[in-house]
Amino acid sequence: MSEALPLFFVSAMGLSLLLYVILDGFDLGVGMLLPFGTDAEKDTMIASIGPFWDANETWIVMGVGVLLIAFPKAHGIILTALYIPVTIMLVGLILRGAAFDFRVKSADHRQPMWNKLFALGSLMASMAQGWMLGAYITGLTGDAVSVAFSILISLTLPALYIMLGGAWLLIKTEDELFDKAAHWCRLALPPMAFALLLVSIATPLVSQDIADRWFKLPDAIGLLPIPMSCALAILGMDWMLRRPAVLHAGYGWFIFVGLMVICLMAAIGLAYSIYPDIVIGRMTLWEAAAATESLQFIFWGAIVTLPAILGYTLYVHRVFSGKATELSYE
Amino acid sequence: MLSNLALRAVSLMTFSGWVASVAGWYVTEIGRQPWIVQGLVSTTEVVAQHPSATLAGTLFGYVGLYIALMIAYMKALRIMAVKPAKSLEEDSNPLGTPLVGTAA
Repeated sequence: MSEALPLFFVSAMGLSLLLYVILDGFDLGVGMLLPFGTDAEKDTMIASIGPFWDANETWIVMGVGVLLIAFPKAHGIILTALYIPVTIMLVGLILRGAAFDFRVKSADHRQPMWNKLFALGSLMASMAQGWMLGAYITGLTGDAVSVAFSILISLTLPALYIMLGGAWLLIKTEDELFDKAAHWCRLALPPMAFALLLVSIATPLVSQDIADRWFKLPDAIGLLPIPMSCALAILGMDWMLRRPAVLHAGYGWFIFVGLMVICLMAAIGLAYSIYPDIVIGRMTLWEAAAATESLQFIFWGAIVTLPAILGYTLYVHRVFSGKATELSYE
Repeated sequence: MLSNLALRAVSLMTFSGWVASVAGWYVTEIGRQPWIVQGLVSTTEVVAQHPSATLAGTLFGYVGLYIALMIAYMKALRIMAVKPAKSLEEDSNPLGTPLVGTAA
């Protein structure tokens, strides 16, 4: 039991963060795309994420919450090292959350300002998260390589989120906005694919440990499905985005599924790279784990909370399935 | 019926919930010092060793942001409070124009 509990919690944390990237990724992406829509389209774009966005953010609270209670020593190291990007992310998320309401409740002439702040907050949060991921993968060392890598990923992650946002709009919108979303996806795909490739090349270069794990035989053969399915997903999305007729026939959701495959594969790849470390090169998840008694106690909380969040996430997607319409309090 | 003066006084109650939560939060956080976990762990034992410029910068950043948002919030409250009264005078719809936007 004492062996299995840290594994359970690290899995719960990984799952939460993967779901966070996919789910909040699309609403942050829609936020960054907001400046490119007309005023009426902006309202539809916001309405398309209205019922979902705050539930999406519970996943990062869950992920960081598990890090704090199950791996307190790692939480101290990671969150201290990431103090500045975390602050930037929080400011971004606060601006976004406030702009959600104020853009419709403040004076009319202020609406453009709140729309801009909404987009700015989304961009700040996305770039800060990229920075954190980059810093984390390079072992939180803060040296020149780590900083360069963090910058690289802070530019990559927004491209992925913009793509997720465009794909979400393909599911949720119609007519002109639908065509615009397809256009945005077409524009975002090459930088996203290029950035993904760069990160895949840079990660083993930055860390010898990670390189050794990926390039030794026979393990390398077993790992092939990860890059291959990513490549297939990118080619498939590219194929479909060039065929508006296929998108209009109701297959737009395929783009979102392709992106989910990429996120899942990236998560598996990352887990494979760093296991059993929780702070790369410094601390394993066993060393960072809280006392077994504490883990046993919060285990019961986790097995109630996780299905509850999963449940309401699925429920809200079922209730608000279909195309977004003008939301009103009528 | 309440007099105009009484109505004005009652309208100030708009902020009572907000004042109560901020005051409650302030009392818990300041009242517990120098402990971060009462009687067990002191704040100085666990505080991160960030340069004071970093801490000051982020503190003023948060304070500035919250002051700006508080001003926006009070302005928005005013607009929402005034709006239905206006529509009562101008529109035939006695319930006023519903607010259209996102539920958050």
